Amino acid sequence: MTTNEQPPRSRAAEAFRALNAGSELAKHRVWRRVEQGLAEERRRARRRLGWASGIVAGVAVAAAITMPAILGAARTWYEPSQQEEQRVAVSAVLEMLGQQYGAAGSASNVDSDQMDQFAQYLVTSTEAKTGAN
Amino acid sequence: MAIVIDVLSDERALVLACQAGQDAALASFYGRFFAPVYRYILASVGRREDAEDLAAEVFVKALRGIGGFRFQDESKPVTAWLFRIARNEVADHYRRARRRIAPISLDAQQSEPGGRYDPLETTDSVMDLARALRTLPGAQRDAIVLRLAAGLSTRQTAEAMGKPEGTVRSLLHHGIKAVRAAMEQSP
Repeated sequence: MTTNEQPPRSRAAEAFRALNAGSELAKHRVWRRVEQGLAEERRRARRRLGWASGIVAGVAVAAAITMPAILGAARTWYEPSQQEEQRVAVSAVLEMLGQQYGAAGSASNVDSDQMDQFAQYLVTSTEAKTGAN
Repeated sequence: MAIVIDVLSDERALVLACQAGQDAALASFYGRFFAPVYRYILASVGRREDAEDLAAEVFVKALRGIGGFRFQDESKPVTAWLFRIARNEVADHYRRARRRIAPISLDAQQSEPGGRYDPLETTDSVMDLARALRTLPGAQRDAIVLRLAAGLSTRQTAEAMGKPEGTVRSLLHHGIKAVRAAMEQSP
């Protein structure tokens, strides 16, 4: 400590020395309050955590209740359009086969029973692939 | 130098233990820093009851927030961080005191020498000191309170204030003269 940093003498020096008086008692008193403050802070943190957990659990329960209904609704909305596509596809095949069968006529050496069987095979296999009943 | 390194590494270990949530480490931290923080606050506010209230606030805030403290470099040790909290608490205390008393203290302000309002009642030497310190410019006051009341080294005072050591020495030199003069003049 240089001379410039010496504590002020006389009244000022006395005041600086007096800062130490009673500080040990103050230390114990203040520590009790610090402990109480920290305990209160921990209680608050636990309460906040409880609230957060409650919100997460609530969201999970709400999702568990509503998700099946939402999924069911989505499936209902999605499936008809797929069935529509399947019906269009099968009818298109049948129409195409009919045209070919007509074009071939009696001059064709293709047996009409065989053509019917082939058409039936196409319809069945198309339905099996697309899952249509 | 070796001692400084030991102190810093010891301080770091203590802070890391506090950050790990060890209750014993929190108590050690408090035991280690209470006296300088309390003296700093007492010299700043003058009343022992107020100093105890504010010290409790400072340590609750510090121990609650110590998890967020990071050792960025050795020039910003935990003492600087802790005394910044203490300084803010003291500043808040004076703001609250002014708001609380200002509406009914216009006469008191006018009768105060120099027209300055000081919420402290000076009844003993510590209160005289706090009152004298309130008349100093902020930087001089900080230097004196950190160096002479809290008992930090000049280097620690410079770190806490974010100023070079030479500047702190100069502030101390002029501040001590001013405090001595103010206290000798007061009745």
